[in-house]
Amino acid sequence: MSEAAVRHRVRVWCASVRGTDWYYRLKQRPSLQVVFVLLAIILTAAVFSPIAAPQDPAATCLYEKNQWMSTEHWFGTDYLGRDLFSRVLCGLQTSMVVAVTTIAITFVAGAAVGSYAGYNGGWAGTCIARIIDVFLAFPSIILALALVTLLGSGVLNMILVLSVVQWASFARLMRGQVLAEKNAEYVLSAQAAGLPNWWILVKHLLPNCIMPVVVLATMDLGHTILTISTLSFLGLGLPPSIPEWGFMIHAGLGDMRTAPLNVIVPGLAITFVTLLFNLAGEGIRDITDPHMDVEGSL
Amino acid sequence: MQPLLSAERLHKTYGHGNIFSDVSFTVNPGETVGLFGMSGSGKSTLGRCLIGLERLSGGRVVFAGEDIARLSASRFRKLRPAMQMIFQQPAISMDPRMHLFDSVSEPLAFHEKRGRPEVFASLFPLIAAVGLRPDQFSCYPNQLSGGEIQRAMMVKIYSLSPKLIVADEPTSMLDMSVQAQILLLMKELQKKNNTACIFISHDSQIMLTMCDRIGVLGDGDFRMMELDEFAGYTTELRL
Repeated sequence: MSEAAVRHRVRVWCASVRGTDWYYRLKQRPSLQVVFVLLAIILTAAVFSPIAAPQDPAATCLYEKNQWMSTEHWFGTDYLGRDLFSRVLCGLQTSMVVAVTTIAITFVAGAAVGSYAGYNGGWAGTCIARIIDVFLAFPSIILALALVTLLGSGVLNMILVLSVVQWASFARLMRGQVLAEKNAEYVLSAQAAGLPNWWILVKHLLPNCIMPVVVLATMDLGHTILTISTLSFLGLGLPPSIPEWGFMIHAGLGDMRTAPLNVIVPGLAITFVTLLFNLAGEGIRDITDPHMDVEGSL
Repeated sequence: MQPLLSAERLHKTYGHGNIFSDVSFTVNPGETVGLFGMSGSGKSTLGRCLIGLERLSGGRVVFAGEDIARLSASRFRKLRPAMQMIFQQPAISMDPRMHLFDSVSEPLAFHEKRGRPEVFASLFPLIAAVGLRPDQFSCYPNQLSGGEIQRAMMVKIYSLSPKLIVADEPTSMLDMSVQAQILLLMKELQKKNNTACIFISHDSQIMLTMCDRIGVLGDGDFRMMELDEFAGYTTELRL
C-alpha cells in the first residue's frame, strides 16, 4: 500500500474512532434518550408557547375562577379565571429564557474566571479568588434586591442581576477543579512538550474539570427559577403581566385550600423541568466520560 | 566534548526547609546518569527542576549551551521538546479524556502544524518498535495496562526526538516481567537515537544495570559515584 493510501486510511480511522464514542455511550442508555427527547419537546414548547397555548393566558373570567380540571380548562383555572394550562405553557417560555440565559452567562463567566485564577495563581489569581470570596460571603438575596432596586424590574435586568449573584459559585468550583488537576502528570507532560499555556488550559484542563460545573449548572437552573419567584414575591421580580411560574405559585397561595391547582400546577412544572435538566446534566457527564464505558456501570 | 546538560550548584527550598543544596553534575550526550536516594530525598523534585517544570531556589541548569531559567518563555517552549520526562504513574500520565492516538500525536502535530492523523501515521514505525499495535491507540488510557501506557508514553516522547530524557521511576508501578521489558526497550531506543538519560530510582539493582554514573542524594547533600563505588555504597547500606 502506498504511503498516501495509508495516510488516508489512518485519517478515516481516526475520524471514526472520535465520532462513534459519544453516540455509543448514548446508545447504551435508553433512559437518557428518553430524557433528551423530553427536553427537546420542552424546549420546542417554550419556543412556540404563545402560539401553541389553547387560550389567551391573560384573559380573565371571574365566573370561572378556581375551577378543577375540565375538557375546556385542562389544568383548571386560577383565582382570576385564567386558563392554567396556557399560563404554565407561557410561563415556561419566561422561565426558560431567564433561567437558561442566566445559567449560560454564569457558566461561561464562572468557568473562564475560575480556570484562569486556578491555573495562573500568582497575585492576579489570588485577587480573583478573594473577589469570589467576597461575592460568596455576601447574602445573595440582599445583593439581588439591591441590584433590582437599582436597575428596575424586567426580563433583561433580571438576567443581569441573577448572573451577578450566581457567577461566583461557578468560578469557585471551576478554580478548585483546576487547582486539583493542574499538577497531574498529563498536564506536566504537556508543559514539558512545549505546548503553550492557553492550549493546555483549553484542550486538557477544561475537558477534565468542566463536568462538575455542568452538573452544578443543571442543578442551579431550578434554583434560578425559584430565585425569580422569591424576587417576584417581594414585588421586585418580573411585572405581573408576564406569566411566570414563581409568581403564579405566590399568587395562588391565598386560595391554596379551596383551589390547590393554583399552586400544584406551576409547582409540578418547576419540579419537572428541574428534574429533567438534572438528569440531562448527569447524562451529559456520563456520555462524555471515558470511564463510563464499563458495561456494568450503567 | 561539551556536556549536553550541566547542573551548577542547584539548590531548592520549600517553605519549611532544604530539599537539596549544592548539587552539581554534567550529563554528556548519549550517557545515562542515575539519581539515587531514599523516598523523600528530593530526586523527583530535582528531576522536575532539571527540565524546568519546577523553579529552582538557586543555581543554574545549562542545557545545550543555554541557561534555561534565563530564556524567554517562547524560546524555552521551542527548546522544550528536546528535554522530555517519563513519569512514575502511567495511569495519569496521559490525558484521561483523550484517545491515545490524539495524546500521542498532539505535541508533534502542534509543533509541525500538521494534522494529528497524519502525524499518527508517521509514528507507525516507532509504535512497532515499542511493541504495540496502532489499533490499540483507539483506546482511552483507562482501557490499557500500565505497561502499555508506558510504551505509548515512549512513543509520544521519542516522536519529539529529544536529546535528554528524565525518567522518574518509570517502572516502579509495574510488575517485574514488564519492568524488564520496559527497561530493555528504553535502553534500546536510547542507543539508537543517542539520547542522554537521567534515570531516577530507589532500586539499586536497576540503577547498576541502566546507568553509567550515579548521583546519590541523601540528607540534602549530593555525591556523584562511579558504578563500583556505588555498588560498595549500597552493600554498606544493606549492612
